[in-house]
Amino acid sequence: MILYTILPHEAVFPPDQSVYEQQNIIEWNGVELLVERTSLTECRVVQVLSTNPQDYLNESTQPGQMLTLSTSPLK
Amino acid sequence: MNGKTMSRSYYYYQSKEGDTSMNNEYRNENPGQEPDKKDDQKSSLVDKIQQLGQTNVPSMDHSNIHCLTIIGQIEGHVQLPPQNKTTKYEHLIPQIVAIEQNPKIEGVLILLNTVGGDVEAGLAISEMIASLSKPSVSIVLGGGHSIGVPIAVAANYSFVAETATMTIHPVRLTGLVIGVPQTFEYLDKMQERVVSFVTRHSNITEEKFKELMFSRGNLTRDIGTNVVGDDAVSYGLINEVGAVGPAMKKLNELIDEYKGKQEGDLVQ
Repeated sequence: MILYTILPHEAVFPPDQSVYEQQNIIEWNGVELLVERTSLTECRVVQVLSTNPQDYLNESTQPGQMLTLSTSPLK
Repeated sequence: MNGKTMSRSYYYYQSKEGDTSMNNEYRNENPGQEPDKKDDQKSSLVDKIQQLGQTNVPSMDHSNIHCLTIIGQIEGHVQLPPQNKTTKYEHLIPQIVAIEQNPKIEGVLILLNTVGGDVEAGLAISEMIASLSKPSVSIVLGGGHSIGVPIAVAANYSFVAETATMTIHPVRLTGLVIGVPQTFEYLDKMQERVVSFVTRHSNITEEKFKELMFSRGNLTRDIGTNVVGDDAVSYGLINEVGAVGPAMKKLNELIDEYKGKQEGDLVQ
């Protein structure tokens, strides 16, 4: 089947709600991070959301790093 | 590719439940983060005393220049699935407010590599940048298409990398449309807002900008123009060709100028 449309992909095939729930934004030592849940207490850094260029040099929050949370921000 | 470079303007108000529920979840759970954060600081303090015999370790200096990165699609009222790289205006706007308020921040560098996106969200970001009292310099790297154009020109001084491109085309609409005549009028007004913003904040004339916007034969089966580095400067859209080096130099110049002006104000 060929579907030719000017509609964006997500308007034609809306993704499942669970897709949106995988990622969340948390604050980690004063820096906002976009994280992806891997387990109840662990998450992986996807993106650093900061305007301070020095925050991007912090090794513990490099994208791909795992963070352990005492209370999970993702339910 | 064409679909990606279009300005999206969703003309329906069906809010996806996910948007709000996710935000609430984030807000509710945020306080739960606090004890963790304090624990971390405390243990690192103890570590420092044990390791170095002192509490304060010289850390990296806070940068007086902050940067705003505008990447992927500019997200509007509808949240895009996570596989899309997006710039969310609800993230950027508080960051711009923080930049304006924080006395340690003296200037802002705006980095653009965007395919465009929601017109209203893009204009919101542009207006926030344009109304910053602190000096701002923008660099278009890779691409600053569609609604990326007003964001690029919103800064006090704009740069474009030699290889970067900017697609200028009319405002488009994807989604469900109710009421065709009203929609056409609405679109026309929306386009006028984009055109007037760009002409007010750059040296391009309205005639030239509209000519680029409606020109035929540049984009396959479409109207508009793909403007590359040098051309953007020759049309007066962007101030200069260059990337990070010249941009930082210019920003530091603007910061010195701004500081001088502020001191002058204090004397009077």
